[in-house]
Amino acid sequence: MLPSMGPESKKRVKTKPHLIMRVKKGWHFDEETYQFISDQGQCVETKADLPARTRLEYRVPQLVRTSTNLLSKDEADLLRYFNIMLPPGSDPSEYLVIVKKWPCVEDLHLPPEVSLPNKL
Amino acid sequence: MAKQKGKTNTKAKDSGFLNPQIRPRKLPRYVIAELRHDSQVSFAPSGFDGPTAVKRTYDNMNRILEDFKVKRVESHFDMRESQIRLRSTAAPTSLKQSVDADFAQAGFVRIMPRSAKDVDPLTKRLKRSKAVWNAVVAPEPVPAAAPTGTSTFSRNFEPCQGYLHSAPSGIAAMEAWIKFNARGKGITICDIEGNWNFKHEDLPTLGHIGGTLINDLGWKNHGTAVVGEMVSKPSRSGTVGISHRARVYVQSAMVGGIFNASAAITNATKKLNKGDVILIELHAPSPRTGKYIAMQYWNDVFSAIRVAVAKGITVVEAAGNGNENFNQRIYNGSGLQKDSGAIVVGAGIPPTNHMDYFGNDWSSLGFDRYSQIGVPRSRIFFSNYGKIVNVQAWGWHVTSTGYGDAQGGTNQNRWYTHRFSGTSSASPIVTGAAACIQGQAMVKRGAPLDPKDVRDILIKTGTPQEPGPGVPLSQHIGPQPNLLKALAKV
Repeated sequence: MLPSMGPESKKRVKTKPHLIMRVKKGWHFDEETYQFISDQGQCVETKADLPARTRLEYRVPQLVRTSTNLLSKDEADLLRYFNIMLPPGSDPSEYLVIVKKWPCVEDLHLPPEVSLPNKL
Repeated sequence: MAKQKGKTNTKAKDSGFLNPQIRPRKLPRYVIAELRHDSQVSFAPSGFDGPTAVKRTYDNMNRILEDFKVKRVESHFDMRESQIRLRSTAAPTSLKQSVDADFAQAGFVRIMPRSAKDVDPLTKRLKRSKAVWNAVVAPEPVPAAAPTGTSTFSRNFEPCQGYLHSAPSGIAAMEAWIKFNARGKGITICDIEGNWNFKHEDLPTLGHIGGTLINDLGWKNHGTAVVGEMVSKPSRSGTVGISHRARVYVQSAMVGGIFNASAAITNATKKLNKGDVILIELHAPSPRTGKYIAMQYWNDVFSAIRVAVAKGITVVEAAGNGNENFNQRIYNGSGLQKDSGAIVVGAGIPPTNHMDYFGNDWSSLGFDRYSQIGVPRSRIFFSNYGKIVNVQAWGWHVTSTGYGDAQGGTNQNRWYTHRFSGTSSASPIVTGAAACIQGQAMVKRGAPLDPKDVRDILIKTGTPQEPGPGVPLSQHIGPQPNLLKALAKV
């Protein structure tokens, strides 16, 4: 076989363990308290359910600093997505059931296993 | 596999020209002596002889043979002994007299000493003999093959880029360059995947917007091949990109230690302007079936594409290689049945489409080695399909930069491929076409087209999809762009 040729690379790219979450409309994230707060004042304490050193990140942080009034509908939608970054060695699937119970969650899933659409 | 004697060397690590090197076979060395036409000396297997008049001459010659322990001499033309003996009677008295071919050939003697090292001194001694016209060491011929080894410049692979050719075979890019001078000038393309060879000899400067480069040769070759189809430099060597005057940025989908296509698209959207083009060269397994599907299935990616399109950026997206029908009920309401505004690209079968063997076992897919995989412009067996798949392009054996199967060597910057395939190879063809259309729109109208207009033109002017065995037109991947017709609509 020639170098670099052959079937698609079976090598899986290592990524940090995480979950992808979309929160319902009317909820926002308080980065200081790590809480999700609804327009009605309902509060989700995230730290209690997740292991230490878990971080919550906006999935598209580039839009966070843009004034809400200037965001298009799709941009506003993107700000509802969060990565729940779990500590190294964690199994994200273990936290699916726990996080799904949060009242702010509209959608929660494991990250897709992204790869290249080549065929050799 | 064990090496066979005399077999050609096809190691791809030989740099530059990859013509197989031919190893000469080890054959015994010997002397060819040519007797003078006017000499009556003859020979038999046991040695030289002739009439008494030349006894002194052939005795001397036989002494030479004895000195080198030569037991046997042979006719170099395998002539019969009776023909050779005729030399003694038929020898002309003067060299000016002509002789026939049989007589001339009868004078060639093949002499093989016991030791190869005796060949040279034996030749010298025989040359001095009165009856010998000339004596030479037999040449060791090799096939008159093309040159092997390295070269200063890379080979020219442009004739292999069939996708640039006229419709219906290709997208008519070459014709479009001549007729419209549409080469993507003034347009920026951003390729979103994982790594690239930033130092490839045939690529322009690739601006890296962001994201972590994935340290893997497969990802690096892939990105290099994708970019090569679109913007490799026109020159006397290597390949030439469809939109070779366009500027290129790259953005890795690996953002913050995870795959984050929506963040990558948003980064590219911020960097690019109206009229520019984003290419999404990724796919992922469906949570429903496990088959590879287009990235716009995931809602965050769908929204990020819509944001880019709303800014006037044309987004081209690989449909993915899952052999998946996006029209299935299980995908109702998902991004696989909604219009994100992107141009979703399926993989079609090119005109030359034979399977070959590079260690891949295609038998599980029902293909024999070297069998033809289908009707040109029909859906290739692995391409996803459905209503949202807008156009197709070559999904098999596309010639581009990277990989090293067409030209290998130790220097990756000179690697080229003839085998880049998948919706991966199809999508950059459409991206290059889109960049040419937008470049032409800038020249002709002073402003780029709306991304949806670019898509409409490509669909309406394209060469229609063909049905094939097991791949009816209902498995929709759309037409193949025809840049010549498309540019006429700008």
